[in-house]
Parts: sequence; structure tokens; C-alpha cells
Amino acid sequence: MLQCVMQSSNTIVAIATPIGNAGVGIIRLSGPNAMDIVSRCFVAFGNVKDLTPRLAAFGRVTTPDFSDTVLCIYFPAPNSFTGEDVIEIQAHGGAFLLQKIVDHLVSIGATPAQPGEFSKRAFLNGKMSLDQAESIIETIHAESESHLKASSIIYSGKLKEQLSQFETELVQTIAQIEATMDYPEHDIEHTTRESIKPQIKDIVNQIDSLVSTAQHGRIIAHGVQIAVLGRPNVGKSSLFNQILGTDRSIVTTIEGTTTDTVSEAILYKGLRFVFNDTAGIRNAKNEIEKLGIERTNKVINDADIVLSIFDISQKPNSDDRNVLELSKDKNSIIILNKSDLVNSPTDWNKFLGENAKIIRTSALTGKNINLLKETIHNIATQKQPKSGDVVITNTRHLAQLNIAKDSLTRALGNIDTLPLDCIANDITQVIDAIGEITGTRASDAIIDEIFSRFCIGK
Amino acid sequence: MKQQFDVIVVGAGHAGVEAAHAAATMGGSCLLLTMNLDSLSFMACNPSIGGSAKSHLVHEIDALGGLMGILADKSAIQIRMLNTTKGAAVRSLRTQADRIKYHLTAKKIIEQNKNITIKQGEATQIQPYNDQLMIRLLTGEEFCAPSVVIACGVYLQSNILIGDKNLQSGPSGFNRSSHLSSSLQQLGLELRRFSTSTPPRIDGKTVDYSQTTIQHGDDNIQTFSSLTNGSIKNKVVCHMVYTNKHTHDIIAKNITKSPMYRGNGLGSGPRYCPSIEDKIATFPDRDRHQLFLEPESLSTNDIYVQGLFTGLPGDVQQEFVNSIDGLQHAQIVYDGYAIEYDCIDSTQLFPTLEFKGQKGLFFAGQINGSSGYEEAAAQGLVAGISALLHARHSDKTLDLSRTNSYIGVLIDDLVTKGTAEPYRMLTSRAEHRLHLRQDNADIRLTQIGRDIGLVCDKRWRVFQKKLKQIEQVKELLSQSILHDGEKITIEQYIKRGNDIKDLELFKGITPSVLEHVETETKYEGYLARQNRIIHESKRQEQTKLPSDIDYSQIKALSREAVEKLTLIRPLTIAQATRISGITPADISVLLVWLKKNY
Repeated sequence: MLQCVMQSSNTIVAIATPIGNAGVGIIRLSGPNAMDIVSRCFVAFGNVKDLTPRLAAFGRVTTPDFSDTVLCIYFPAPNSFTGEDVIEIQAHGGAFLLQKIVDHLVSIGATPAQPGEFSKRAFLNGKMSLDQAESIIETIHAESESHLKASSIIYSGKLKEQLSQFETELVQTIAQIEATMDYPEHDIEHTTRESIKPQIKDIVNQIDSLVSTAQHGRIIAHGVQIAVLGRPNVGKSSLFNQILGTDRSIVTTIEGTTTDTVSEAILYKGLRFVFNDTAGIRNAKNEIEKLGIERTNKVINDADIVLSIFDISQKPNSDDRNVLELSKDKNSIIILNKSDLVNSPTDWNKFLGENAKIIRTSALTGKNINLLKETIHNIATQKQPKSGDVVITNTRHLAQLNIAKDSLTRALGNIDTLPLDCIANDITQVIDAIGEITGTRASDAIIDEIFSRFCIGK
Repeated sequence: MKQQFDVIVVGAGHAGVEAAHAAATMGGSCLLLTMNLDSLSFMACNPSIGGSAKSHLVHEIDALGGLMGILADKSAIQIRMLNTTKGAAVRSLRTQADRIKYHLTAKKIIEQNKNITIKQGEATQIQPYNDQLMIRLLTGEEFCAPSVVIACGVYLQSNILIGDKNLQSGPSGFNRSSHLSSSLQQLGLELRRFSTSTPPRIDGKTVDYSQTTIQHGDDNIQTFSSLTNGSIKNKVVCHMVYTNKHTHDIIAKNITKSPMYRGNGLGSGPRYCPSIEDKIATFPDRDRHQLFLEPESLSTNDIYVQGLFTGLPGDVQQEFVNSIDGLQHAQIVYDGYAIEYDCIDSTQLFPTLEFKGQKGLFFAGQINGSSGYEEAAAQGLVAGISALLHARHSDKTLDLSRTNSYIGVLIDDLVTKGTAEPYRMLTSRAEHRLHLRQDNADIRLTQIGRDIGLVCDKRWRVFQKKLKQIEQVKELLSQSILHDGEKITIEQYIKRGNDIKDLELFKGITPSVLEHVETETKYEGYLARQNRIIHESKRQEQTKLPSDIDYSQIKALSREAVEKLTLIRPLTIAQATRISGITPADISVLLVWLKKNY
């Protein structure tokens, strides 16, 4: 008989806290040899010999190169995160220092963990369900309050509830069709196509309104994507830095310095604003600039909002016209920069037209920067659903909802022309797609995706 | 020295006959045991073959080289295509069979097969004997073979129930089998009690047909078998009558006298084929139920009253039959009855229908908990083929799965999900229904039947000819024709819902070929989507689960999952997903576990 004890043979190790310099960093080990490995490099202060379960021990980790004072906590199996023997070492938080400790632990018997391996082990040892695993990912990846809130609504079961209701209704609809087909000889009530039409229509509408929350969901999950656009030397980079409050871009007066796109994010009222700086807009003369312009176009395409920046200390030229052209189909905010230099930009009013949303800023003085942030926030939350409503933030959910919507729309479109077996097929696909979201269907593809989104150490 | 065969088939009903025919056609020597030579391929219930989903099974049996389609065509007395407007996937052929001719035709074909030995006798014991299995008859005679197919239908310890009378008997007055059950139990099979019922037969000359509605057969007759050539005709009509308030009152008043009535302790009965008692109790608001009067044979006057399944006492049956318009003076010639019988838990079988606890022992038909002739025959075919492959130590396998056949769905449902009531095939059980149609049964399966050695040269030639014609027609699809003054291709013409049968271009092409191409064209988008899903599920079918996994060691599995997986021992991840009680979370655990350990 094959032995398939889930207690893994190897002991994994990884840094569990985010990489970066911080006061404290945690290294986590999980596996049967965790205690053995740690005891070979950790000595507790005082007369403490063994680690007491779930009690922090103060002591010293020694590697060939250095030693560090740490706290060490032992969680014996099965009462640990992974269900295996787990030891957490709280060391000082330097990225280099933590890595050196991990390297030493590996040299004395631990194995570096794969991304998501701790959670995978927890899952395999029955410590958490797939739902929970997914909710952990969302929480880990949440970078704003609104994202956390949206995930918590979904994991409170509200989405599942809504989808289960669709499922129940669709199963009833399909049962009507099936009965008609499976009992041709009997006089059970035959479905008329007319009677299922309104049922399908109703669910299409409901799924559609769920799908439409995804636009806001994307903003919540990935931040408001803002393209920063303007011809060279309009003060784009300095304005950008004024908003961010750091020196991210190189600010210089040489045209075309910022050939690459640079992204930085800030948090504003619980939302993430992701500013994507672009190469200056003008006719590119060399290859590097051409590449930059290609990237610029992509950034504009992907943006929720375009900030078009103009230098009102100068007259509008063909490059400015180009900027205006590029942003014309987008949700755009016109920024008249260098307003500290000029007061009445008559040329510009004519150039921009009457309907433009205009903000006068000064990258130098910081004038109206807060107004700009507020304007972005207002635009980004225009389509925000009611508080407490489900917002689709997960791309996997959105993909399945779109399949569901397409199949159901097809069923509705074909209901007068195609036979019932086709209609039944469409509805079955909708039910399957919904099942993939709620987890009533499992496929290895889903599992792969879910665990690949974990990061190392989780 | 015991007489020796390759395969011994116990029971000569629809499963047993198909099993013996398959094994013998593939060249195996075969002993076919029956309790009564006159009960071979006997239609104990409905004198009809086909209908929704069941028709698909018959077409598939035929495509693989089986018998049922041929028998049904040869004995057909009324032919109808059902569900004609509801789509190609659910279109189903149903024939009224002359049950006496059906029996005689089957008997003749079996008798003519030189590899089959028929013998009347009751098998009482089965046991391992050297590397083989030995069957002992009630008379003490013993036979042995490497493979045995048990296809004993509803005869094991069967009781016939009419009112409060409980008779130890098989159906239609045939003897029951009283001994084999305990022998099976000794081999480790778990037995349970299932039940079913049959309606009264009435004397045709006592029916007032003027008060009934006639139901004619089709003008355009299609056949189950590709080997049948145009000789079948409608020979009878059926009639419809209806129950009424008075009928329902009589039944309601007497309902506690029925063994079928809830709480009277009868084994699980089929929901899909409810007794009239059940219908009255479940749908008290319905003011009438439709009944069909179906002639049983050209050689008798017996009329089968379809829809009136009952276990009520004879006098009550006579009373409510006479309450029906048209049947006021009808005389019951044979009372309806309920029958309760032993069957096995089909999850104890592998997909080959071999018992997991005994090599070489196969089961097919109602003993596995199914209902219906077609379901039985389909299993008989699979068991017969598997039994011979086993006897030959062949490494060939019969590749039937949910993605290529209703037979695959049937077998997978039985061995993976099991059934708590007599299992009936339904088109809704087939998730790839659009692909599994009557019109492409041969395209799906005849190659498989040929490879396994069951498809004869004649059938193969007919099939090749059909393939050639399909190619011919497909090549013409891009041609343009003038339709309502507009120039369109034939493909567009079909997609707009037109019938190509009437086009001059296709004169001389077999109608079934045209129907097939029309369907494939009209359903193109749907079929493409279905094929993608089939492709995906085949991938899951390929994720094998090692047979020696100790599921109890996988901690993350629920206790129920461990029990079910240990019991069913699924061969693939896909099969595991279909076990009832196995949740997606369990499957996730298995998938991750597999990746880690293999």
C-alpha cells in the first residue's frame, strides 16, 4: 500500500513579511524538521532549553557570518497555520539580514518555499478551504481600504447568495425544458418558449448589472489608472512629483528625458491612484523615443482618466494639439500648468474649447494639487455601486460572469429560431460558469490559478 | 470434466442475449443459461423499444454491432419519431414491438449463432474454480469459464404483489430464482430490494375504440438499425384514453390496499415510471391522466394500458379501468402488478461491469439497478465484450465514455454515482447531449465496434458508404442556389432553417445522411462549443488516480470523501468529481495532492 502521509518530508522556509527595511521581519519554517533545524542555530537566553509551544522565546540566532537577537515561537502540529510543525523567527527587519538567516537555515537542512507553498500545505492538511485560500489572496493583495471592503463583502457570502439564486432559477427553467424533452409521451405541462423568455431575460439583466460593477471593481483592485500626458517640458514630471510627494521621475529641462513610462501610486480617500507618466508627446526622432511613444499609447488606452498637461506660459503648438487629440475619447482632465507664470491665457481658452474640465496648477507652488486629487476621486467614483453591494474585483469571477452573460444572451437571441436542445445547452453553460465562481465545480485550472497568485512566504 | 466455455451468461433477457451475442460474435464460445427457453428476450412490460434517450441507446448498440436495433426493426408494428420539433439531439425513435415476434426473432438469431449454446436451467451457485468461475445449476450440473456475466433481471427472490397478495414468482408467471442471491452475497456483493410495476393488459375486443383518439405511426419511417432496409411498415395504430375524476376517486378510496402506496414497505421504485397510485397521491389537483392503449402483438388481442402501472387488487383494477371512457366494458386479461426483487449496488463494479471483488464476474441489466430493456441491452453489450476480452487476456479496451456515448453515461452513472431507484436513461443525464445524437451514433461508435471485432463486414460497408455520402454532401454546401430571388449558398440555406431533402441536387442521397449534414451545419456553433468542453473533460479523464491510494491518509479530505473514494476507487479525477458526496474542495485536495506526490 502506498503511503501518502500529508506530513511533508521536507521543511520549508521563507521570509513571511514584505521585503523591505522594517523594524521587525518574520521568517517562517514549516515541516517535520523545523524544530531540529532551528535548534541548531538558535539559543534562548537564560536557562531555557526547549521552546514552549506558542510561547515567545527570546534568544540569539547565530550564522557563520553574524548573529541577531530574535524572538522565536513554536507551533507544534497540528495546531499551526500549515498543520505541520511551524516555527516563526522574529528578527530585525533588514532585507539583507533576513535573507542571510534564511540562507543559513537552508544550509542546515531547510528548503526554500515555493510561492503559496505554506497556504497549499495548510489547504492540504485541511486547515482552510479553497474559498478561504482565495480570500487570503485577496486580502494579501488588497492595497486600499476600498479593496479590503469589497473583498469582505464577497466573502461574507453576498455574491455566492446572489449567484445561487440565479442558479436555482436557471435550474427551474432548464427543468421545464428537460421535462418537455424527456417525457414526450406524457401529458405533463409542456414548456412554451414564451414562458421561459421572461425568466431568462430577468437573469440576463441581473448578471449584466453584476458585470457592470467590474469596472469599478477593477478600480478598487488595481487602482484608478491615470495617464499623465503632455508635450515635453510642460512641467509634467515636476507636477507628477508634486502629486506623489517624492522624486520619482528625473526632472530636467532637456526635452525627451522621460522616455520610459513610470508608475507611482498614492492612496487618497481609500482609493489607490496609479499615475502612469508617459514619454513626452512629439514627433519622435530616434528609436528609443518611438518605443516610448508606443508605450504612451498603451498607457492612454488602459487609463481610466487622462491628465493632459499644458504649459500656459507658452502658446499652444502642434504637439499640444496632438495631446488634445490623443485624450479626446477618454475621461480627461485638462491641466494648465505653470499658472504661477501667467494669469490670463486667452489663446488657451480658444484652443481648449468650452466644455473642457480645466484645472490650473503650478508644479512649482503646489497650487490646486488637492483640487486635482479631489477631481480624480470624483470621476473614479462616478460609477460606484451602493455601499454594501457586491463589486466584482476578481478577474476570474468577471471572466465567468461574462461567459454566463454571453451564453444566456445567446439563448435569448435564439429562443425563437433554434430547437430547445440548443437553448438547454446555453443555459447549462451558464449554470456551469456560475458553479466555477461559487466553487460547486472544481477544475485543476482554477486550483493552479489560485495557488499561483500566492506570494512566497504565505 | 466440467463443460468449459469462454463466457457463461446467466439469464437470456435483453442484457443476457446482447452479452452472449457480442461475446459469440467476437469468436468466444458462450453458454447462455435461461430459466425458461420461452422467456428469451421476453418483453415483460412495455411492448415498445426506444423513446427519449432510450432510442439513443438502441442506435448506439446498433452502431457497435449489437442486436437490439435489428430485433426492434424486425418486430416493429408502429413507428414514430418523437420530439421532432425540439431539436436533433433529443429527437427519438420509438417503435411499438410485436413482443411475440421480438422473442422469436431473437431466439432464431441466437440459435443460428454457432458459438452459442443455449440451455434451460436455474443457476444456483457461482464460485471461483481454479483460475476460473464455476456455475452450478439446480440440477447439479456444473459449467466453468474464465468469465461469467450475471444478467438475471428481476428474477432474484422476486415477489409479485397484487393488493395484499404476495406471490413468490418471477414476472408473467415465470419462476423466480431463489438460490443465486445468497451465492452472490457470499462473494461479497451487497444486495438490496428494488421494485417496479406493470399495468393491466386488457382484451382488445372489449374496447370501444369510438371513444378513443387514434394515434398513427409516422409516414416517413426511420429505423434503429443501419442494416434494416426499408421493409418496415406501420401495422397497427395506438389509441389514447383518459382517466377521470371517478377513476381517481376509486383509486384514492383503495389506495392503502396498494403495495406501492408509501409506507407499505416496498423496495425503491422508479420515480420516472410512477404507478397510477403515486400519480393520484402526488398530483391530487390533476383532473385527468393520459393513457395509451398499445397492442402487444399481431398474434394476440392483448392491449397494454400504458400509464396505468398499478399494484392494486384485481377487483379494484377492473373497477377503475371500467370507469374510463372507452373502457366501460373492457375486460382485464392480466392484472397489473408490482414486482420486488434483489439487485446489487452497482458501485461495486468497474466501468467494464466487472465486480471489484471477483475477477471475471460481470453484471448487466436490471440486477445492476437499472430499468428498461434498452438500458439492460446496453449493459449486456458492454459486459459481453468485457467478459470475452477478459477470457482472452486481451489488452484491448472498450473505449466508451461520457464524451462519446449514452452507453458511456449509463455505465459511468451506475458505477460512479450508483442509484437509489431503478435507473432510467434520460437525455438530460448526458452533459454532451448535442454531440450524442441518433444521427451520428455510427460516426461516434462504429469504428470502436469494428476495432473490438463486433462490427461485421456488411455493417462496415454500409457505414463506409454513409461516410462517403456525407463527404459528397458536405462538398456541395458551398454551392450557390437561388432562393426567394436571392443567391445564397446551400450552407446559408440550411442555416436559415430550410430542408435540403427537396433540393434536386441531393436526389438519391440517403435521407439520414442529409439529416446528419443538416444538423451538423445548423448546430455548427453549438457543436464547436460542445467540442471544446468535451476536449477539456477528456483532459480531466486523463488525470489518472493510482488504484492503491490510501485515501484515509489524505488529511484534508472529508470523512465522507474518504469513505466514498475508498469504496468507488475512481480511475480518474473526472470520475471522482462525479461521485455523489465528493465536493469540489475534495477534488481540489486530490489535484494538489496528485501534483505533489506523482
